[in-house]
Amino acid sequence: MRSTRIKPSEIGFALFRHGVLGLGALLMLAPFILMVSVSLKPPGEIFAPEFTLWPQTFYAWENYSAAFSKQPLARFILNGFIVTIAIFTFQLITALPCAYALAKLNWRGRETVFALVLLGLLIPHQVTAIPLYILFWKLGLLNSYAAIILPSTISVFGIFLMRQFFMTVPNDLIAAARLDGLGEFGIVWRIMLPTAVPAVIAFWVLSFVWNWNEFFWPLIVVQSEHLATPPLGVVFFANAEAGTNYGPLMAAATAITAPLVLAFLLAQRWFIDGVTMTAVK
Amino acid sequence: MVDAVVNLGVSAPPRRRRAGERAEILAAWVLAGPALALMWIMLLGPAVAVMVLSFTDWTFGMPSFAWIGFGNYLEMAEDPVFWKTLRNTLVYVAFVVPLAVFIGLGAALLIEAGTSLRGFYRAAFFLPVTSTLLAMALVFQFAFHPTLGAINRTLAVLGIPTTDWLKNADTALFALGVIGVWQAVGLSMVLFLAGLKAVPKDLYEAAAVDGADSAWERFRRVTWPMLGPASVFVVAITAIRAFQVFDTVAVLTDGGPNKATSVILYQMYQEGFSFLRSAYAAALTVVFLGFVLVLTLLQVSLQERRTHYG
Amino acid sequence: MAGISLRSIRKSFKQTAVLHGVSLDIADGEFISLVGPSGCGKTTLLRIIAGLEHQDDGDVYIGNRMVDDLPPKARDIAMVFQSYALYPYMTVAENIALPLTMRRMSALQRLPIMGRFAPGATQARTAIEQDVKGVADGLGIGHLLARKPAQLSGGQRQRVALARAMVRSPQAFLMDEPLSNLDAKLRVQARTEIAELHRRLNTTFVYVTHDQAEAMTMSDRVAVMMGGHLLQVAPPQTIYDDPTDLAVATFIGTPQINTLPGVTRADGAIDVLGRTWTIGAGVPGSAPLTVAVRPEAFVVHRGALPHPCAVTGTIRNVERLGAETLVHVAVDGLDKVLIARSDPGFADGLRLGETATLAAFANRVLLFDRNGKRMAAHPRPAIPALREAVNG
Repeated sequence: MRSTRIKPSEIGFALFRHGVLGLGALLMLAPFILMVSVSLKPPGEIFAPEFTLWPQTFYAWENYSAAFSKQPLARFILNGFIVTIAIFTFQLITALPCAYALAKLNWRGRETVFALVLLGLLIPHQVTAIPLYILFWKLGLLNSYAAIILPSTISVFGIFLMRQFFMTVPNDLIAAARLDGLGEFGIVWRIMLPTAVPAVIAFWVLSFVWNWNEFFWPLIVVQSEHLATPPLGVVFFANAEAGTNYGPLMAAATAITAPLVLAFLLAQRWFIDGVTMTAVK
Repeated sequence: MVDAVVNLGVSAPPRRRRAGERAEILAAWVLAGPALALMWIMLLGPAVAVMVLSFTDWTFGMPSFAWIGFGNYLEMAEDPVFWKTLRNTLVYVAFVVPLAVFIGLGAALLIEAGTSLRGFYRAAFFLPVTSTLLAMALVFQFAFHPTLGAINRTLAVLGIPTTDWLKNADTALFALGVIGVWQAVGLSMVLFLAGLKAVPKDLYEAAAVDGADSAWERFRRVTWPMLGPASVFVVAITAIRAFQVFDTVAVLTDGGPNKATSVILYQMYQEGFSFLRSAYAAALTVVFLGFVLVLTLLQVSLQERRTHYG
Repeated sequence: MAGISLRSIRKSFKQTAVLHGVSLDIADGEFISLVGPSGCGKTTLLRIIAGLEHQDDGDVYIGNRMVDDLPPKARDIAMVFQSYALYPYMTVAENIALPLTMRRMSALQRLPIMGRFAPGATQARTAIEQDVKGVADGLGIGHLLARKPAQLSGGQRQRVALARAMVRSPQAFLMDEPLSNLDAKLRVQARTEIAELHRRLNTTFVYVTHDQAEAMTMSDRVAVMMGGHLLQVAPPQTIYDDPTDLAVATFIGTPQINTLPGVTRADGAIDVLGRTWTIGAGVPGSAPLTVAVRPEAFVVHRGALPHPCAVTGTIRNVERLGAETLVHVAVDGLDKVLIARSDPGFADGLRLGETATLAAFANRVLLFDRNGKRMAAHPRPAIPALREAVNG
């Protein structure tokens, strides 16, 4: 095993490994390649019998400007950021103190509250759709940012994740902070939050991915185009273009997918660790 | 100042609660309060409400309603569309889960088996998990296009018969399933990779010393048993996610053709928000919740068993 | 600076009582060690003084002020933890500065960026920086101020923890096994340093440890705790020479004190393993008791000798430690070996399997009653006939 000479069987295995994984990777990436490729092409080339990866006539400007002008695509993307940032801010503000109380404070009711959190983890968010729709209808909040954001302001998953992380923070650290003069709120924000940065980032990544991509709930509560989140915007776009104008459509799809894909490529480790952390713990 | 008198046994004196303890309890409720309130309003309360609603005949916007017991459920049982929907959902899950799990496992094993290009393969397989499914569904729609689509062009070159996959009642569900697999593989791969990382390296050395040194033996004797708990989890989470399939149905097939791709969440959406039959949709939601809970409980009990004996 | 008084402190966790009414007066400026096996309640007691745990009953006074209802930060005490409890994401300087920041600066001044523009913030900050520098230099960690705890060695972290405790000149220092994460060599060095620190600061130190060497070497007084009871509080030498309880006697001292079963005789002497020891227990009749002898209170003699306070057995092991030699002797009727601490020169000739007599100095034999409580022992002149036999 330690010999430096490469055995033929090892070359064979490497070829096999790269062959299979390469083909798999190609299939996984094919939709992205197709999407970007079509978004760069003029209609004639899209419908041409031969498929080429790179356009003969570079038509990106036309497609992308059409995508951004025919529908308020920039607005959709902006909405995506407004919604995800607002949601995560609320989630963090509510989850962090609760997770701290669950992990580190002694109070009667702690077990019950934690049991409720676990129960909440079992409930897919679609279950709440009908009652929440009725609630927002009664409150006159349908078709508003509030309607999109409010149901996600609480993340039982975030509470659970942060609680698990806080359990690993030594009790002595909290005791030291109390002696050093911090109150319980100070401990949450000055001690627990900085200590839990990896978990917070994982939480943020998942919250961002989830809420950027969420389609079910915005589809139900949003009617106005100017409130549409990115996935909903794509649907408005597809419906308006009646599924024939593929160049601008793919340009729109590319623009809507880009923020997440770029974020993923830049912070791959955080994404994968985050998803893994949520799963394994 | 005596808040509570708790008898701690024979010798213990009555207990008085210290100011410090009271402060801690108060702080705990203040800290947990907002989350707890929101949890009730946005999650637990609605979950209870949906169950209550499912026993009424309320339609959205109506001023009054009546209790009809299991009426909605009886209606459901007699509705062929419901059974078709349920069957579609289960077929979809049965199609997506094994493919996603085994492809994910294979990819994870192959990626871990060598050192070169690890990061690239991992990223390539994982990218679909984070991408906006709805936008990608439109790309798939284009790829599935009967004449212009990349899929049919490729199949034609290979001499394989083609069809309009999304419009053909026999194939539409599986075409959606392909998208489902495409999106789920990365998650199962990443979870298996994490499971593989957790296998202690000295186990392989011990196995090699004991004579199990071929790749297959190492997989059978060490890797697979150690992946046991992880694999139960992967199956469960993939199944739960497949059970929630909605986006691709809503945007690509509208449940058609002829209800061939109508799945439970889509049915619930239509009944609840297109036909405004809130109570019936609530009953569908309860059925949906029931399936998800059963899957989760199955996972928990299996995982515990595999962990003990694994 | 202030003394600390504990008045019948009781504490239970769930149904388990961990402190059964502990009372203790600690003088101003005193260095007192709480020592005992793990689970004896010493750390809980320390945390109750700090206000980190809440006693079920009893009161804590710091400097004549009842602090039961004060939160930890208002008690004006500092604590050094076993794990050091340094904030991992703060630099050494920020770690040491935090207690001062929280006390001297207003909430407005503490705000992340805007705080810099609050009135008085700059002056307060400069003063804190100077204090931090002063304390750090005093402990020889002035060059580490910009580092994070993860970049420090165990010894350096321990000093940072000390610095953070010292920087606000508290009324008392509480230390929870602060040296147990250091390696043996560093621990001996740190022991001396902490003792010097105490002399320099002249502040009350309450030091929790399970290591009797630490307790004995540094303290003015040692408080031995077991099973939630305070068994004895006394200066180290008194604890060693004059333990009031068998548990204290066996806990303190390495190797452990030798214990032998004894029964009092009608004539006032004691029967020990079939021999008569001429020590008066002051209890007539046949009362069972425990005879305890420190290893260095035994003298090893070769062969079987008639001696007024002795047992005879077989040498099982001779441990040569260099400065001293430990002789292990097995005696019939006793299921453990007795250990004598001997001069290496003398013990040189001893061979395994040889018969030997362990003779105890009568004035250093300790007697404990059936409940483990210390009994008075009266060394009596040996019976003349026996003395002749010894001398002959």
